[in-house]
Amino acid sequence: MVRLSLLVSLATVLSILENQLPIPRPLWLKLGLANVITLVALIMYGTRAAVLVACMRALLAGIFGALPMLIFSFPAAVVSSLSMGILHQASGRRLSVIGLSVSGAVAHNLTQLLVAYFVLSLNRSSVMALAPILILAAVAAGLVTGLMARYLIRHLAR
Amino acid sequence: MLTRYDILLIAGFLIAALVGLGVVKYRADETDTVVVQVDGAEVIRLPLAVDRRFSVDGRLGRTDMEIKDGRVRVLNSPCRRKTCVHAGWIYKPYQTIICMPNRVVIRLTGGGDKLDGITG
Repeated sequence: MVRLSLLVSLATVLSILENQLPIPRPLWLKLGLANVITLVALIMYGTRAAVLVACMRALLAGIFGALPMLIFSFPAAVVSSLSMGILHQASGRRLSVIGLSVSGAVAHNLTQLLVAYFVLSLNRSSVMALAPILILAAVAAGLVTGLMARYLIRHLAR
Repeated sequence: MLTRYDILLIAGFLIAALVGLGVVKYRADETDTVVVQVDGAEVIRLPLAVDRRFSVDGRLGRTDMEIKDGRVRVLNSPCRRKTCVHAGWIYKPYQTIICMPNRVVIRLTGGGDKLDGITG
């Protein structure tokens, strides 16, 4: 429990930090550094821990950051951590952390797109146009965060 | 570092994204904006990407329009013959709906205006 709360606070800080980094980037694209922590929770403590950490992080980052964004970030956190957990178990270790990270990132982005579809009443053609871009961005971000998580887990395991 | 399944998974995502991009490119209507003019003056300009209903006031009264799935149509018009309503949905570049009695012109533009030419 103590370790999980440590992970939650780490993820929250990363999440908030990332939103305030003065690096030029398109407003709606980011790396998802907090996902590194979710992956650590998943590998070291299992699916339930990962979902817990992701949800708590989304809530806390929402409270300390932009509360309205919870509408996007919370469902995305749930779906992405759950799907990573399910894939982790279903694949029986055949997917590495990087593969899990990429699929979590894709699930995250597509969930947000789905929320946008309902909340912003985007129509189907613009969702269709956005989906491939979001998938490509997720694959790139997932590779990077997956690599980070891989090294982090390796060091933590020692 | 990457397992075979990682590579399969990532390749799957990439292929899905590329196919999606291709489909979107292929179906691109090149239109993204609807412009409504009354008496020759532009009164409203809206993105086709957001479904909504809206209206403008013309010479005779209010013309109601609807944007849905990247298309636009006239729902209701105070004119007598309702030619504009019967025109139905428009969605291609430079398509127009014109309601002469109410002096309302609905035009589609945008997408870089990459047409070779237009014929009537």
